Amino acid sequence: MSTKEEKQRTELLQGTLDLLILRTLLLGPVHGHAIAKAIEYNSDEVLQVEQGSLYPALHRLIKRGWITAEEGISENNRRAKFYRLTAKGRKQLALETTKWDRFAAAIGRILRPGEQESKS
Amino acid sequence: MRRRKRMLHDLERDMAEHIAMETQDNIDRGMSPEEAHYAAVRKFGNVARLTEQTREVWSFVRLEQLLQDFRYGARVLRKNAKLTAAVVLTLALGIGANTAVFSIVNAVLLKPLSFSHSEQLVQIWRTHGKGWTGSMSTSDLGDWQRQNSTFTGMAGYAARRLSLQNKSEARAFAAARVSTNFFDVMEAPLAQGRGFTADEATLGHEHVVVLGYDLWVQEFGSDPALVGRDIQISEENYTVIGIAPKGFHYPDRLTQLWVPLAPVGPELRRDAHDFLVIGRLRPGVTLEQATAQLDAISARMAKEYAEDQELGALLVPLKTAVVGWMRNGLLVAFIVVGFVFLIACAKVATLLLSRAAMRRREIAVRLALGASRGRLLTQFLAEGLLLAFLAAAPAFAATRWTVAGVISVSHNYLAVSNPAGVEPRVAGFTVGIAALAALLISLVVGWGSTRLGVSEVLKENSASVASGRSRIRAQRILVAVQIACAFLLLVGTGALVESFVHLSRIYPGFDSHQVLTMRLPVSAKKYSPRHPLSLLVEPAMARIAALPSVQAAGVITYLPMQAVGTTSDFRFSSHPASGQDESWAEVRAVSSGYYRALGIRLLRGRLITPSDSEDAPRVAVVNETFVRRYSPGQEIVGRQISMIDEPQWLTIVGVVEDARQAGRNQPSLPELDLPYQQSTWAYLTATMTLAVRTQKDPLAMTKDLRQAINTVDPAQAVYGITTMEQIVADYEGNRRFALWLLAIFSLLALVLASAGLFAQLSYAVAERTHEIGVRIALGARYRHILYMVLKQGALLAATGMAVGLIASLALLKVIRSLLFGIDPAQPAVIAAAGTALLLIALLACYAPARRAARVDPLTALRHE
Repeated sequence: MSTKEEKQRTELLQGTLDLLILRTLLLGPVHGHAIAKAIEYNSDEVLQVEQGSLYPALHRLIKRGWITAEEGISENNRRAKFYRLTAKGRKQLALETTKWDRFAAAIGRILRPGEQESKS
Repeated sequence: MRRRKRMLHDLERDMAEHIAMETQDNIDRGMSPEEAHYAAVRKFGNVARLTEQTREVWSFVRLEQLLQDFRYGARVLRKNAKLTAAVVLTLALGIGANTAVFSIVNAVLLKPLSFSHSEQLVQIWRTHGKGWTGSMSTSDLGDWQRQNSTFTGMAGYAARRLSLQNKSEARAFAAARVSTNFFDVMEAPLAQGRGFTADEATLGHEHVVVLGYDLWVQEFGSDPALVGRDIQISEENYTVIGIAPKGFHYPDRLTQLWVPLAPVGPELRRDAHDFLVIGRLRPGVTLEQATAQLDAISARMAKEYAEDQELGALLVPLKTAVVGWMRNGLLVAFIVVGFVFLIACAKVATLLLSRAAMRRREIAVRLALGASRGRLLTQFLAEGLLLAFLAAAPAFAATRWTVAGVISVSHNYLAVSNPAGVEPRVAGFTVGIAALAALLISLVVGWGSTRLGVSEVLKENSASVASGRSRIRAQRILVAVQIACAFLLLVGTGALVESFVHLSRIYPGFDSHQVLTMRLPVSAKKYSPRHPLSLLVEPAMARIAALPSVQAAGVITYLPMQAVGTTSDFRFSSHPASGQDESWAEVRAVSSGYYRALGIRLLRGRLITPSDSEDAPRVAVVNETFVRRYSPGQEIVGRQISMIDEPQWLTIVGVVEDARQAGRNQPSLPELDLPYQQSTWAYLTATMTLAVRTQKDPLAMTKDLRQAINTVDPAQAVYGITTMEQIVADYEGNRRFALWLLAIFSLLALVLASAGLFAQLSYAVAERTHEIGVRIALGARYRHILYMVLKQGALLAATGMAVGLIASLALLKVIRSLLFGIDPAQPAVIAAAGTALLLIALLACYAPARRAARVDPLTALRHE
C-alpha cells in the first residue's frame, strides 16, 4: 500500500464524516458513541465508520466553531461529552448538504447517463 | 492554549467511555464480555494514533512533534558518534569559511564608515578633460569652496609622514596637512582641546597640531595637560591644540597627526595640484546635482585662468573611494567559499544517505504504520538542523581566527583593521547559512530515502540489504556534484597559477632579490637650498655603501610598484618629432646609486652621478618607453627638454631599461629621472625611498642601515622598512589573494570529493558482495571485477568533471571580469587539472575495487 492512496482515502472519509456528524447533531445534542451508532444505523450499516476517527473529526469541528461540547450524563448514567450544533454549524450543514447533493448528482450523471435522462 | 488543554483533557476518558459503551452494546447482543471488548476495540481503531490525530487538530502538535524529532535526532546522532563527528567537521568547514568571508564583507562593504553621517561624505577629484583625474590646488579649491551651495563644507588634505621626537627618539607617524575646517567637515568633535581656526592657515600661525587618540594614549599616557604644550615634530616646535576623537583616522587608516594646511609660495599656484579634497554634501543634495554645480563653477574658472582649462569634478562616495577596490576580490572569495559550502553539503548528504540505508526498515515500518512522508521529512529536517547548528557553533566561535587567517592570506590586500567581533549581522548570516545547509541536506536525504517500496523492503530478508534505487541515484548525483565542484575550483586554481607563473616570468626591468627598502621623511625646515639634502644623502649613502655586505645604495622618490602619479608635462627644445599633443612623464628624483641598487641597466649614454650636484648643469635620465614614445628613431641623448613651468632646460644624458612602475602586467610608463640635488619640485624630495642591495638577508641589515643614517643625522626618522620583493608582492596582492584562497579551498574540495567517491564505491561494493561472489563463482577473473568497479568510479568522476568543466569556464569568466589581468584558462591547464582529478579519483576507487576482486565466492554465497 502506498502512502498516496491512503491519503486520498482519508481525505474522502474526513470530508464525508464531518457532514455526517453535523447531520446527526441536527436532531439535538448527542455523545460520541451515539453519533457512531446513529451513522451506522441510519445508513443501514453500509457505512462502517472506524469509530475512533470520530474524535479527531469532532475536535476539528469544535475548532472551526461548528459544534460545541458540554459535559453531561449518558443514558446509562455515565459522564460523557455531549456535542451540540452551533448556528454557524447549522449554516455549514446546509451548505455542505447542497454541495454534496450537487456532487452526488454529477457523479451519478456520469456513471449512469441513460438512467438519469429517462428519470428526468 | 488553555482552550486546547481543556478540550484535550477528557479525550482519553471519552474514548475509554466510548469503548465501554460499545462493549456494553456487544454484550447486550449476546457476546461474551471478553469477545465484546475486543470487538469494540477493533471497531474503534488505534487509540494512540487517533489520540495523536486529535491532538494535531489543536495546532501546537507540530511543535511538539518537532521537539520529539529533535530529541530523537539527538539520540540517533549520539549513537553514531563517529559519523556525526565527520559530518559536523565537514559542515563546520563549509560554514566557517563562509562566515569568515562574510564577516569581512560585512566589515568592509556593508557597514557604513565610522565617520558621522558618512553617507554625506564624498571624495572630490579634479578632472582634466576626459580621463584624467587627480588632486587639486588650494587656490582652485578655494573657488569651489566659496562658490558652491551644495556642500556644507569641503576640505583639502595631503597625507604625509612626520616624525615625532619624544623621549629622545624620533618616530615617523602617518600624518596629514588638512584645511582648517577639516574636523568640521568630518563632524569629528575633538576628545580634548579644539580643532583648527581659520587664521592657522596663514604662515606663522601654522605650528599647531592635533594628535590622534591612540598616539596620545601610547606616547603621552593620556596626559590631559598635554593640550597647550609644545612638542617636537620634524625638528620644529608645534603646540598641541587638541586630541582627535577615539578611533578617528583619515586619510590613512593609521593617521595620528594633523597639522593645518598653510600653503607656502609655490603651493598657491593654480597648477600646484597637491591636495585631495573631501566634501560633505548638504542633506538631500544628490551627487549629480553637486557634480553639475562644480562643473559649472569650473567652467567659469576655466575662462578666467589659463591653468584651469578643461577643469571639472568627479564625485565619488567616500565609501566607494575607500573600500571600493576591495569589492571584487571579496566577491571572488565569496564565490569560492560558496562552492566549498556546496561540496560540504553534498558530502554530508552522501554520508547521511548511507546511514539512512541502514534505517530503511525503520523508515518502511513507519510508512506502513501510516506516517506521512511529510512527517518523516520533518524528522530528517530536525536531524539536519541539529547537525548544522552543532557545526555552526564552533564555526562562529572561531570567526575571529578564521578572519585573521583570510586576511593574512590576503597579503595586505584586505586593508581591514578590526573586522572580527561578534556582530549581529554575522551571527544572523551564520544562522541563515546553517539553516540553508540543513534544508538542502535534509531535502536530499529525505528524497533519497523515503521513496521506497514499503512492502518490498518489509518482505526483504533482513540480512540482505538490496539497494534502494532512488537513494543510490541521489548518492551518485551528490558524488558527481562534489567532483564537479572540486574540478571547478581546481581549474580556477590552475588558471590563476598559470597566469601567476606567466606574470612572474615577465622581467619587471629590475632585480627585486635581496633589496632592502625604507622610507625617509625629509624635514622641509632642515633641508633647504641653503642646507641641501645632499648633506644628508651623500654621507649616508657613503656610509651604507661601506658596510661589508652592501653592494649598492641609492634613494628615489618612489620605487617601481610603490606608487605612480608624480607626473609632469614637458616640451623639447627642438620641435617635437613625435607629433604627440601631450608629452608627459612620471618624474622622479634619484641619487646616483639607485640604478645599481635596483639592478636597472643603462642602455645608452650615462647614469646620474654624484657630480650632478646642485650647481652642476641640469641633466635627466629617461627610460626606454620615454624614447619609444617621444623620440622614436632619433638619438635622444643630448636633447634638451624642460618641464612645464620650469624655466631651465635639462639635457638628457642617458637611457635606462624600463622598470615597470605600475606592476608587471602593466605597460611601463615614460619616466624622467632628475638628480635629487637639482629637483626644484619640492614634492619629489618630501619623502625619499632608500633602496639597498645586499649580499645577505636584507632584513638583517636594518639595524646597520638605521645606524648609518642616524650617525649623519640623529633626528632622521625612517619607516616602512620592507624588501623589494614584498613591495612587488603587495602590489600584486589581489591576484595573490585569489590564488591562495582558491588553492587552499580547491585542495580542501579535492580531499572531500575523493573521500566521497571512496565512500560511495566502498559502499556499492559492500552491497554487491553477493553479486560479485556469484560472478566470481561463475568464472569472472580478478581483473574483470577490478575493471567493473573502477569503471563505475571513473564514470562517476567523468560525469562530474564534464559538468565541472562547463561550470569552470563560466566561473573563470566571472573571476576574470572581477580581477584584473587573469588569463583565460589554457587547454593545458584544464587537461592538467582533469588528469590530476581523474588520477585521484581512480586512486579513491582502487581500494574498494581490490576489495571487490578479492571477494571469496564461498563466503559471499554462504552469507545469504
